[in-house]
Amino acid sequence: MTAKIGVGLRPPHYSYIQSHWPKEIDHFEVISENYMFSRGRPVETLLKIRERYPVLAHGVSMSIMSAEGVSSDYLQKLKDFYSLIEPQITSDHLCWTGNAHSNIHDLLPFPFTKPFFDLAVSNISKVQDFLGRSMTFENLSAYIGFDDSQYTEWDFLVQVCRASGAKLLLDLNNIWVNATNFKFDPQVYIAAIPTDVIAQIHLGGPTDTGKFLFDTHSTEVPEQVWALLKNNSDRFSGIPIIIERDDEIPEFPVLLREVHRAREILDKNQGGKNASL
Amino acid sequence: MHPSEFQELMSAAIIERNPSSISNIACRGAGTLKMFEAVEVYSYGYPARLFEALGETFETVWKVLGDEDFQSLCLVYIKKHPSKSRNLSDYGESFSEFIEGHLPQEEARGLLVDLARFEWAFKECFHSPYEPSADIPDLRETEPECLRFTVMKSVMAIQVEYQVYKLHGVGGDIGQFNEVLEAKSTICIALYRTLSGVSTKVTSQLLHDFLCSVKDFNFDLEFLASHCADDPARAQTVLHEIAKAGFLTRVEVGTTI
Repeated sequence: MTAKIGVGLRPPHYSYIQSHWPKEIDHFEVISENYMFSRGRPVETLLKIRERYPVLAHGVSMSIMSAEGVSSDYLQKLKDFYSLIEPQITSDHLCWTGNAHSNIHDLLPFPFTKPFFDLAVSNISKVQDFLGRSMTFENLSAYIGFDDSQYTEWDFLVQVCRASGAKLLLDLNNIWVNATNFKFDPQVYIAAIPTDVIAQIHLGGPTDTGKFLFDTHSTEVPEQVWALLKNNSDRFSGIPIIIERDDEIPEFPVLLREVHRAREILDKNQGGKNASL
Repeated sequence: MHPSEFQELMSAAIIERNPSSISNIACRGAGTLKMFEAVEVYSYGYPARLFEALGETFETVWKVLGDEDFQSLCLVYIKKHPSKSRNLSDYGESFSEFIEGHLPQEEARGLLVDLARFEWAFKECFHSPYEPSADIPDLRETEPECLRFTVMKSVMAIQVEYQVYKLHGVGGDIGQFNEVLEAKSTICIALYRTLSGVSTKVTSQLLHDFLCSVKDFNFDLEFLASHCADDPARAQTVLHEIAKAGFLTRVEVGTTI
């Protein structure tokens, strides 16, 4: 299956995209919250791009792991946004972002315990019923680990997906960040995720602070993350991929080089497969 | 531990920069971070994100105040005003009122309050839909009760004491700060969406008051007449000015004579 590869759509690239309409891009991923609360310029630009490319919608504020449940007002706006742009994949992060008193606007971790498992399945089911579609959730980078976790991260994700019908957005950078920060083998993590659960893949780059890896999305995809893609390319065949950059955003052609590299890795595997048939 | 209890404790630890809130949660930091250092990663990120949001909306206030004063002001504001919305650009609605009570520079306070109000209105307008102005038909032979008007949804009418639009945005220049500060006089401004962005127009007090009174962007001549009950001739003036400004997106004409 041909690899479908794109990048995260960011405002500094609007002009380049609208003057070049790059053919190397199969789809763009948008941050839902950058558009769903606006009826102005951002949405107008997105709709122009949407006329030429499929779009994947990726959220950061659903707070699906919130003990208070997901805001119905937020969900209605999200549903309206999905109706407007008809995204191919709709995703957010498996995390919480605050409580009723204050929104922390961060992707916050939680222990992988049975109460959180039940909360995840319950919240995801309600959200999917409301939106009338299956959701995809991304594995998180975390800077705090919890000793009372009853599941490994990968078991937790797979079991939540199986129990709720949700899919997984597998962020290879986040796996590498957590594996480095909490000392486990990233390949064990990836091998434990059944391919049918994975709806999408993210590639990005963290910052090495010297004490820990910080998921900044401010660097090029590092060799360690490319290696994870390469080593698993047979399993990732046909799964949509997004190159993510959120900070220190480079010129668009720099991202295109990463798109080419991802395509090369996946096509090489595809070529190898075909050759052996 | 129940998720709600866990999240209460973690939120307190992050927002109040108080890792001891989670001393009964068995946890460890990433890499070589100690537990409290790991909490700091999140604690640092919280005001940083809100500061970024304030800086984006109030970019000219930032330029005028300079990095140090703007940052100090924001950090106090952030401490007093937790973010309630999932939309970061909603943050800062009460920032202009906050400036009024917290800015030490007395002589420039009024101008900065106006500038913050203007920048908030600008942000709101930017996120409003673009609507082209309506072609106004010849209404001379139309029964007044048959007419209904729709106002552009993006129009934001504000009244200020300083010509703050001269300082803001691409065409703005904070070099004019002293000039704007000295030219104090009540002025009405309407911000509105254009195809390429946001524009401003200086309006009459009459039109300003009328725009502020219109509900749901619609009005008819009866509403206009009641608004101008003290001086019926003003209704004609308002209608002329609102049409000339291009703020009408629709004129519905019912049965004509």
